[in-house]
Amino acid sequence: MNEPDVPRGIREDAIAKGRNYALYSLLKSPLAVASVLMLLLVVVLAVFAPQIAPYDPYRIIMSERLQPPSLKHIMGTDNVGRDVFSRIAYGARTSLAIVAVVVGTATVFGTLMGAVSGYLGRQTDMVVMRIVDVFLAIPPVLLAIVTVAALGMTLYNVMLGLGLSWWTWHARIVRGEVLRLKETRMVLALRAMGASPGRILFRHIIPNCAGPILVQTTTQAGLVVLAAAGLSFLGLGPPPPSPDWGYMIANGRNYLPAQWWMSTFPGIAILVMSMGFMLLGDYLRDYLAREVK
Amino acid sequence: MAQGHPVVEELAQYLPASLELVLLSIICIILVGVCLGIASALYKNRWPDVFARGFAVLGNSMPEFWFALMLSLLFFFTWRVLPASGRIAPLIGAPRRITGMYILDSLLAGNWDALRSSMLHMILPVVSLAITRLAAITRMTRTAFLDVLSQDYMSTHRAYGFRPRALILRYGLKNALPPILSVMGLMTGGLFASTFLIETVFSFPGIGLYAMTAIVYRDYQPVIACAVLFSLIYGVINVLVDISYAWLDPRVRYG
Repeated sequence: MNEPDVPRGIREDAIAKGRNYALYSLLKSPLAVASVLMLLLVVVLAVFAPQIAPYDPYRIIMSERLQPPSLKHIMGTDNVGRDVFSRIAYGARTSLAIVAVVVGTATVFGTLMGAVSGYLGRQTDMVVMRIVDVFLAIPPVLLAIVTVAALGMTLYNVMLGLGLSWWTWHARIVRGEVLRLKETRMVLALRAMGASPGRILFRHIIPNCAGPILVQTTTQAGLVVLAAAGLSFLGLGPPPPSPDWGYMIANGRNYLPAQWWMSTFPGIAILVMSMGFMLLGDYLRDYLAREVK
Repeated sequence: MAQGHPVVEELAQYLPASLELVLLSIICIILVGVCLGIASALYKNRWPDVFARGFAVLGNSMPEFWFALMLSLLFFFTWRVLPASGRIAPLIGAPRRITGMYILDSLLAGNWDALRSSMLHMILPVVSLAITRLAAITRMTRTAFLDVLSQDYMSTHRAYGFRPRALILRYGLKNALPPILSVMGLMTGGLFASTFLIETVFSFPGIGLYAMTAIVYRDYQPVIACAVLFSLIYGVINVLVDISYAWLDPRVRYG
């Protein structure tokens, strides 16, 4: 990105004040602070859902169905009288769990595949990269839809379906980095000192790829939030009674336009969560680009 | 299969609708995205740039099916200005089938009522598909354009006295186009996958809705056929994008 340089002296400023430079630089960027706040909001909602949610997200009270937002139910109630806000709070748990598992697995697996493929080269590289190409040929959301449709609608299959395509991005990025780092004098020196390939790869090369991996992981988390919500909107998410944002939107769709609150608020929750990840990813990319210079 | 027809026939019946939707979205994304990107690059760090980038971030992190619902809530349910389901008004009926794309068919048949109606039906789905993807194109155009603008040949041409418009379009855009096209090519995959969501929201009878109906009936042949078809189209488009590089930049040669 051709961003203007940071005002010269943030680093000097941070050192003078005895602050941690990375943290100081983050706090200086309004968008980065906003993204961290958004993510904190979601995490707090998820962790303290039982304390925050005023009602039981599963409790069905038909006499209180379809109530508009009021002081009693700040985001209204759904078609069977469940409190929308409580369900959003518990839904944060579902979303975070999916994102953590999918992105975590994709990062670890993708990094391993990319690193091994790039470092060993030759046939290994050939085979791994052709597998990557196969997965890249199918759009991620489509692959997830087909997987979940074929294997059944469980939380586990949703994670599998999403994870299947996202690891390839990590693999390609890490492979590129490894190919570059492999030729550096650092690796030559390590080899001369008799370090084993495993040690070179895991103790020296992979830690040096941390920057690009971190950026990819953060941005990807934002995309996975959207993809997972899309899946459950189509009815291919975690099975119904569990509180889930995408499913809430799909459910609320049948009550448009009169009961607009049922699908509007979960959408805002998804927006906040994915925007938090995307903005943080953007910030990290710019920050690391600055550091390399 | 559930309806007792071969899947291929069904795909052939529903494909034109999805293709029409995706093609219109691509046109829309390129036109608006490239304009925003150019504005962003020319007015770097001034208000058009800030606006374009803010818009991009918002669009990028919006769940598109939710945005589609909100659009239909406003423009259909509340203001009653745009239709939010189907491809054409039931009273008008489909134009005589030539390509299966209603807008093209009604143009060819000279059926202006059908043309108007089918275009109105396209607006909301196309906007919902385009809005989340504008971000990537805007950003790519901005980066590519900033890069091109700093090249020596741009200053040379400016010194020759070319008018700014000619300079930007003929020399700037053409040189900035390859990376934009490549992002566009990669984007088509996501566009096709998103037709599942958008066609469901707008009850738009294309392949996505067809496949979703099949999933509900536990009928997997159409879903698999659909995935294969979309992946195939995706592959072909990306090959075309690669070929277009050579056309845009004569230095590129494939051996």
